[in-house]
Amino acid sequence: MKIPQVLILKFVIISALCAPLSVQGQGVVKGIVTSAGSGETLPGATVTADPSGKGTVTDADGRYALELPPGKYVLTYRYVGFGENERELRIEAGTSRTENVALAVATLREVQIDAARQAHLKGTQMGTTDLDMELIETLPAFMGEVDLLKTLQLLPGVQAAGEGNAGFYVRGGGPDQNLILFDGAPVYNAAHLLGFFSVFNSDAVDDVTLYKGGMPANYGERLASVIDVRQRSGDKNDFHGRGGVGLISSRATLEGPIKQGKSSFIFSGRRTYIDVLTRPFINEDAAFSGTKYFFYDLNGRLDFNLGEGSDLYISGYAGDDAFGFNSNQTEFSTDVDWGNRILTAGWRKRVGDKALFNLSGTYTNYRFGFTGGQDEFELRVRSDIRDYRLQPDITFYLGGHRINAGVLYVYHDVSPNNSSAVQGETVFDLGEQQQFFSHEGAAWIADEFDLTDRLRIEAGLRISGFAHVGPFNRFVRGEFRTNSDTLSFGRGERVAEYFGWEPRFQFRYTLNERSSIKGSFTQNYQYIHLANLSPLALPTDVWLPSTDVTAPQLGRQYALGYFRNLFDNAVEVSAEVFYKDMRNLVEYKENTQPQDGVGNNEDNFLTFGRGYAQGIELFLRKVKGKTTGWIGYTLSKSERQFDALNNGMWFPAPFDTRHDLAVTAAHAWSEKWTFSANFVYGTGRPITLPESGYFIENRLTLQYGARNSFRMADYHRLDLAATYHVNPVRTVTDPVTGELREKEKRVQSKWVFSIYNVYSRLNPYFYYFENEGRIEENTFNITARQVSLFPILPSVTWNFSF
Amino acid sequence: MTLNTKTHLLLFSVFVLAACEKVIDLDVPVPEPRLVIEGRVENGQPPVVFVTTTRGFFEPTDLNAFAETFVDDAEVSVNGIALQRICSDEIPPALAPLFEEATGISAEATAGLSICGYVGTDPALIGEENTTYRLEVNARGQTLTSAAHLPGVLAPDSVWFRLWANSPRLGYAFMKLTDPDTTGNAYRVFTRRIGPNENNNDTDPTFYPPPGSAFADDFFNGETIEVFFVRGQPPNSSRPGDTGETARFFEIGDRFVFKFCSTSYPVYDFFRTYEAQQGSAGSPFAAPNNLNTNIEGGLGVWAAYACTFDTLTATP
Repeated sequence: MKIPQVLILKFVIISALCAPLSVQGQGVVKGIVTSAGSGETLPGATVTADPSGKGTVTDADGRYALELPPGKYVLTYRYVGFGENERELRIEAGTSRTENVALAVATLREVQIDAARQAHLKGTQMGTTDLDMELIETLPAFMGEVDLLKTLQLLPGVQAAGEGNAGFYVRGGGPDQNLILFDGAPVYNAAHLLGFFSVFNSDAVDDVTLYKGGMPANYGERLASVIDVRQRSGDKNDFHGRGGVGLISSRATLEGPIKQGKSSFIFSGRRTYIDVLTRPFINEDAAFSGTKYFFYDLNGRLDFNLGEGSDLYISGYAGDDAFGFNSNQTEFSTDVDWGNRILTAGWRKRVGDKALFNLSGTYTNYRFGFTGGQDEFELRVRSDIRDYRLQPDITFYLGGHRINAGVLYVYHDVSPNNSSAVQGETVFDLGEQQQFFSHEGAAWIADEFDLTDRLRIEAGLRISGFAHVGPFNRFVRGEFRTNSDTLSFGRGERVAEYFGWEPRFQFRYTLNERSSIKGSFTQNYQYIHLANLSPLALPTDVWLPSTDVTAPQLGRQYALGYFRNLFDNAVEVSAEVFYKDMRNLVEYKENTQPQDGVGNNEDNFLTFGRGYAQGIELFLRKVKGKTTGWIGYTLSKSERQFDALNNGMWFPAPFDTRHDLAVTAAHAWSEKWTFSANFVYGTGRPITLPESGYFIENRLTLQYGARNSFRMADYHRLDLAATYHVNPVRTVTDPVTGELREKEKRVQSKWVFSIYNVYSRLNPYFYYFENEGRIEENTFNITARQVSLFPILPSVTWNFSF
Repeated sequence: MTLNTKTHLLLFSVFVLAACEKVIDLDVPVPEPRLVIEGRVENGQPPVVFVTTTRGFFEPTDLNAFAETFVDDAEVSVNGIALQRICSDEIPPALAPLFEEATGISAEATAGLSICGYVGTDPALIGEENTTYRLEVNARGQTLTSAAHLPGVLAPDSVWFRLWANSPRLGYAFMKLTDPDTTGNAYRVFTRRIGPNENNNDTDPTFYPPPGSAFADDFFNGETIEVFFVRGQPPNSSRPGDTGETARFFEIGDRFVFKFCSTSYPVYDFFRTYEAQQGSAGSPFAAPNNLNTNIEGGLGVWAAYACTFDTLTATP
């Protein structure tokens, strides 16, 4: 018998409405989960009530609420890197009781990932991964610099662009389709040194959550993923310090109370010093004499407990990369610098027993600058993007429903590739400087609830809008590469408007205590785009907002997954399949040169197309025992089609990786030694190669084949690390009893020895072609060359804390 | 700090900064050859056209293989007048400079080979200002067409040599130019040293375009500008003056001809993409793009130039 769809719809609606009724007569247990050491709240902690099997996860402020039928329960609280805590309690019908819990920090040798193992089965979230810095710090790191973005790239569905690339790619999306948030503020370029390091100082980061599948309605703005990085709060009770000294950089962090138990501060700094170390030893006649490079990061955060369930925080970040070349051996000189400035403030207020109000405001600035000179000629190029954001939202519990609603407003001020040039006294007219002003907004509501004992639903609707406003001049290109007409818009005048519905839906169906099925649908609009002239992701890439010629990107993702826990939750396995459809993707037109945007609108050189990505991700993760780690494998395909590129034919996305494998393992060998390893493998990146050539004016000219129709050699690499924990105690003689006893050292420390690329695999960074000799001398020769960045690279880092 | 420690620090720094590089073999399929046009007509000169084919990029290229890419049985006409086929082993001395400049190869080097081009010997085809020249090529069953406009001659206001700020003997050619107040004006520059200087520097057998030789008035329409050019030199040249610190510079005592040509925008657009590709030299940081040809049905360029010449001596 065929059931009419309208009846199914009615059933779903009535079931949803009836859900609160079904829990009448129940009791509520609620509270806040905090860190016993620092007093920080712990978002994402799991709370399970046995024997009911019900559970929940704490919100962004560490709060939870759980409705239970009357009876006796054991509540278990878990959080990554912390020991478990259990409470026995009795629930009375129609009553509400508060259980605030402080979890003690686990040592490194204890299980790291307790919290995730229940959420893995019982949450509705799929394609979501939480990583704690304690876990990340146990894994091998490039030059000993622990890096959370590098660790994220070991997860299935997240693909590194390879060494020397600033971006990373999630489920077939481009590098601009990842929203990286730092305390709620977007980070437009999260890479130092072309991606070898991220801007996130590990000492300043609390944890990170990656959303690559079903995206909750409170997130949006990008098609592929959200990487939500939270900065650490300072300890409200005691002063502490931590840091590390490595071969190329050092870092230091200081934290402590401002007012005992009420407020705290934390400040961190990091800087590379290879330029300082090498400068005295480089001969002025050397080819790279006059070269400098360094980067630095500064982080800070202040937290205030205002009482009556109210908290305030202010946090900031500043970081720059600076490269320069100014040698008396050549007439050329160059300075390139780029960096981020971030300031955030947030206020949280508990409203009654079941609601939490959040208000946050952020400022983000990313800027890139290039200055090049030769003799009296000087060219300057500047790109600048500023975002001002305001986001109030509220989370409340209504019956069995956890409801989140909020709004977001962003003001974008984008200045891409503004140039100036002088030659002696001649000032070139490079046209007016380009600046784009726009308003972006969103409103959402999401509801998470149990429809039945087995079926949990999270449904949400996000509405987003975007307005490009004046002052703005739209240049209309004429017969030549000059402008034939100009359309002028006054201050605040609407140039273009867009509006989009972004429905979100996720479900979890529990098959049994050990397995569940999850599914999700996400529709997103993206109003700001990254345009790459180079096949590689570089800091020179230009961010551009939607305008009258650039429509917002649209993405739809469908995902289905099977999740299972094995061996008493010691092992988690999952298999997820996804299909993603993308529209209005952005690329530069063929033969666009960096200088073409001068005196013109940068987006006049863009062309638009579509794409899709599909794949399956397999994940096996061992979370208990002396040996922990995971194996992640992704089989995927991502293609693009633009009418104006590649003769309109489909072509592989630049980051299309057919096979992607990552294996990580950490083994606690003894109290003193921990060993860890990473192995990664990825199918070679697609590239465009010249198939044929011809001579013009006696110079070889390249005729390229189909776009991205070749692949570089496969990428694989093994890294190893060993961590030596210096004895945390020393033996002292008790002055009273004269007996020997152990006393904790004031400074705790550990040495991390790591080897990057153990078998010195020369992975390709890029290929290039060199022609030498001359035709008429019969010495002409073409060679293809592969450039690889790093062979085997050992390092040692000393980390300390007090 | 001991010397040994310093040495290790330096070695470590170089280790980090240096990338590894190796020669690799790439298995790239060779597509069907396509026809390529390299043709030009200048004011006061007959048109010269070469018809060649593309070759597999990684195929070996010696002088014979290079010669085999030239198509010697094409039918070439300009404005409906057939061009005459002339091969390098029979080239009249008067036409040798044209051949050399068009191919960038000296007549001596190609004397033993049969590299054929097509020359307009009809007086009606001698390049004239403000004239459009329509090219038609029939070869291997294909028809290729193009049109190039030879604009009016525009001379620079002045051309001079100036030392590079940090050098007492090396410098550039500077030019002051007043651009007409019409959009789409495009230019090309060539240089040629014509006499040995006191340092016995080489003379150039023909004109060579310096980097940035093609430019248009996109950013200075109707204005007077002052720009500099380095010295054009042969590709991959190993002549002493073309390598090391003197590469791309004029040197005190050099006598050279500064050739300044007006051309049409499509020709500039071809050489704009040509120079971008030459400049990036397969760099991974540049987008892999094919050239913007003005040939219908094929590749290459059909160019018309209105040129002026200034002879200079490099003096401080």
